[in-house]
Amino acid sequence: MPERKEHPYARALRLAAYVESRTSGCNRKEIATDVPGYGDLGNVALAKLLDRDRRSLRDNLGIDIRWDDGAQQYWLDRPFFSTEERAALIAAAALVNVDGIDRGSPADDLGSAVAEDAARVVVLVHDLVVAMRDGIATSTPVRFGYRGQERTVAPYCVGMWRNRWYMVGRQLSPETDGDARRKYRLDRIAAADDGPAVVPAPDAGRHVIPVGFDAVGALQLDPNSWGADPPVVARIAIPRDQLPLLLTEFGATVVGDTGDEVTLDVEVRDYESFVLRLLGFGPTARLLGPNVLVERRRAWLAPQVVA
Amino acid sequence: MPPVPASRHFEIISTVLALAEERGSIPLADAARAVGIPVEQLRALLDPVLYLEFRTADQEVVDQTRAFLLDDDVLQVADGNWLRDLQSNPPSHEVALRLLVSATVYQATEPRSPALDSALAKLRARVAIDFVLPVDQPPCFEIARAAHTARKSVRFRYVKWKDAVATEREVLPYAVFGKWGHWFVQGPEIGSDVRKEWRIDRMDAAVVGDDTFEMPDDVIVPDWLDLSELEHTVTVRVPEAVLASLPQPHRVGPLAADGEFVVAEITVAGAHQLDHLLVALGPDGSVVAPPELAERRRRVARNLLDA
Repeated sequence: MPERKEHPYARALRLAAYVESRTSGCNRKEIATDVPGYGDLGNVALAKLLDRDRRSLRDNLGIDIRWDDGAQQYWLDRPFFSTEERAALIAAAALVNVDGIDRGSPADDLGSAVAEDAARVVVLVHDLVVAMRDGIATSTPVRFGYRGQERTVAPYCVGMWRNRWYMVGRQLSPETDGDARRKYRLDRIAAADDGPAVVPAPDAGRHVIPVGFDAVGALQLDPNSWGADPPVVARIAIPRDQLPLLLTEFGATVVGDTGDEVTLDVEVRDYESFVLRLLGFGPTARLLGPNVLVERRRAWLAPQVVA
Repeated sequence: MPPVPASRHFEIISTVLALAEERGSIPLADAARAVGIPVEQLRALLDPVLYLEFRTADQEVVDQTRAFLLDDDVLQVADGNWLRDLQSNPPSHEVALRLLVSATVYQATEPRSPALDSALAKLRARVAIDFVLPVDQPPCFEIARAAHTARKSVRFRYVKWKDAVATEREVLPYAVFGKWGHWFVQGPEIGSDVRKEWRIDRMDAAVVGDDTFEMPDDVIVPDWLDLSELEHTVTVRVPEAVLASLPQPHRVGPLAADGEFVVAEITVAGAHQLDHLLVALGPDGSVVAPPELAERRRRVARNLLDA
């Protein structure tokens, strides 16, 4: 092999490539023989040099060459992502730009070197999601200000609904009557003092997320899904052209179609929010029944006519 | 030129290879600029990475190019980034969260990939929390994307938010993108040079059209949509609970407490959204200013009640 003046990183890279090629492991003598840069050393000096290069590879590149003392063998730890998995994640990162979570250096952070202007989807992640994640993953309650009050909460899950981020958790303080499970909109969280908006509260003890906790259900935030009013089926008639918007808003079922006008049924569990949302469709969206909703709509509007 | 400090060697080569992998290729000059060293120094640093030498177990000399090709001074990663192929360290929690978000959205919009599925499983375990990210696609999404891919126009009926009547449109779909929680087509109508953003969930009866187009090279996803010309600001006095349930989207300005009520400046975009806001104030709410909007509120409420 040609003589070449080289830096230590070149020797370490060669070591990594060699150990990778030896799928059943290799010993010091084999490395000294086969890999340029490790020959002509005594046992102790060779072991020290290998330890130094292994540390260097692990700390700088995340490449972990393990040493099996019993077998006197070096072997390479399995990669966290396969080549195919990494390629898929890079393709995703190129298409989907995640705003709100800082990109680190390309050297360390997968997906941070993609060309940003190629992204075709932008998802905004609220900057408190990371703090909430830490609280959930470490079973540590979090403390924050919400609606002018300091709260300590055992966080269970985070998620997004209609482009807003929420945390669901059990409120530890102030104490609440009945079910202490609450939903908190992250953009309404404020710092309780001058510090960070969310701080760990280990003094509140560690918490356990209940077995069988349904995160998807807990983050079902449409009042029509979780409202406490007795369920009723609303019947609405709308011009045909409004159908896509109404389906987006309520996920209704079409029960009649005259061509110009469509009739739909919607199950309603929160009367007031339903009436409010339907008002947004203007006078062409007609609420046909039931009476409980028709009356609620009238009671909402009538005082405003004379206000 | 001063030598590159040894402490930067690993960082430089891993950054440059990450850039080449995630962008498909990168001119050496751009890569050198990214890491802040001259091209010739980068070329010298990369040399041991591009040409690795060692002996195999049967004493054959391996002189590998490790899949990195320099062609016309463009660095390419032809077969995976070897350094990352050996990485066993998991991504940090923050990076894992970012990758999880992008991969979840990507999985919902692109053809199924086993590699992405397995990468997502690893990321979920790494993030270690229940995380809910709904990624809904409106009914006309696939047609819009098919038209974009085929470089053909897309025809659809389009209804502006809460309008009762849709209009026929034919648009050249230069881009299909997701932002602010919605999917959009970007492009001009046939016969126009003005590019607009069209919400896909407001489209109905979409079909791929017959007009073809060449993709312009200046298509970018806008950072924001300028709706300032359509904005209306109204000062309202409402119970605090009503403030939280006012129709979205809106912007809340300065708040002042007034007993159990709050007085707030609310800004919305568009006449329909303004009308909806005014009647959403409810029987206990009132318009503080401007006075003409109090009259408008009475008129809108009456129209709705009479419908």
